Amino acid sequence: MTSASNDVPASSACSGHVRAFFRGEEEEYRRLLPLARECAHSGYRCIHIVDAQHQSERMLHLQESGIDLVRLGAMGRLQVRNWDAMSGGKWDVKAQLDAMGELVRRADLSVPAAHIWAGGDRGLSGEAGWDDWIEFECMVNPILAANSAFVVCTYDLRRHDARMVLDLLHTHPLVLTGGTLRANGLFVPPEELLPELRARRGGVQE
Amino acid sequence: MPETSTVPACRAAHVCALLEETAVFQEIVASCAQEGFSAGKQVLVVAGSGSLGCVRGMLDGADEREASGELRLVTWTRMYSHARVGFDACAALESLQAFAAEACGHRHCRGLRVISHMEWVVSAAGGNPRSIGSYERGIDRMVSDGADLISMCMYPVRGLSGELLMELLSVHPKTLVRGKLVESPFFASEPNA
Repeated sequence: MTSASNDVPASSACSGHVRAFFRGEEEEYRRLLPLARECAHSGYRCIHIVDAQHQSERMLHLQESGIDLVRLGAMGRLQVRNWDAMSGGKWDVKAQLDAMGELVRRADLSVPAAHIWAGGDRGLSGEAGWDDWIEFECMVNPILAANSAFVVCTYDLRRHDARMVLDLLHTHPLVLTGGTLRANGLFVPPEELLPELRARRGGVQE
Repeated sequence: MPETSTVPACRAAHVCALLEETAVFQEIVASCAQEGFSAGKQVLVVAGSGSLGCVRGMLDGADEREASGELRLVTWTRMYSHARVGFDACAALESLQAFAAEACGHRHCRGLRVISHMEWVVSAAGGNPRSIGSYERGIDRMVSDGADLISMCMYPVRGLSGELLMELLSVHPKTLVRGKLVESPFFASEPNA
């Protein structure tokens, strides 16, 4: 099977855990704002997760792209969250998974599925160590699948070495390349990857 | 989901092998070289001089195969370096084309299997992502133009930048990682995707 046969336009995807690399914020906004606008106009619950210092900047970009923040916010279909608030000030994998589960949960099918644009460089901050972050990225997959959530995790390629990029590729079943989603052949199922991650974190040889 | 390729890694036309341990280099060289010899191909191994010594000691009948021209062991300095500018993608491709032409006209072999240890890219003299990508795309063109060529390019994960890794994934149709050969989802996509 070729990767081309797995191509899906990003705007028509219903669910999935997607990794997207960019070189800087300008490129990230240029590539993802059209998708954010389309999601906002398509009835999804649009959720943006950023670091606290980027919250107002994200809202400004959304507004300038033509998204009606007030109207969608009042309808409960737009949220701009920050990682600190989600984790209750102290980052750990379980708390973050619980918070993400709550965010994407659908009590019934009348609740629109969540489309999330999440800034993934949080894993580089001192609070969430890299291995914890990758464990979170690995374990969030079944939660997202169970709730038909669509999440694009964005990373600045210039801030990550090859080992980190491979970790990210091993934890995301889909990648965004250009405007197209592709199945990621480098993805490793959580049940296979998790023991390795835990061994690595515990200083145990794989 | 894309399937793991059923083609043995050493028979895929252009593969980027991501090495997380040095020992894997020797395993890959041994299997690819043996497959190449069995298929009647000339085997060209490009590596540092120390690694070439290991290869010579590891392959059965290496001296005889070198003498007959079945096996060529070439340092990366000779293969990739230009005296004045360091790595030069065009010069490196010309070298490769010369080896491929020689292999086609060889008395005993038809076609070329290249096994390159690209460890030098993480050294101070290593090439930038664009020039490495340009060289690797040149290999893609040679393969698609019908050259009897199989190229296994081995890159160490340690010391590699994220940008160079993504460039490598975009210019190799297949990637050997964690012992599995997989389709690269980034191949043929825009360089800055």
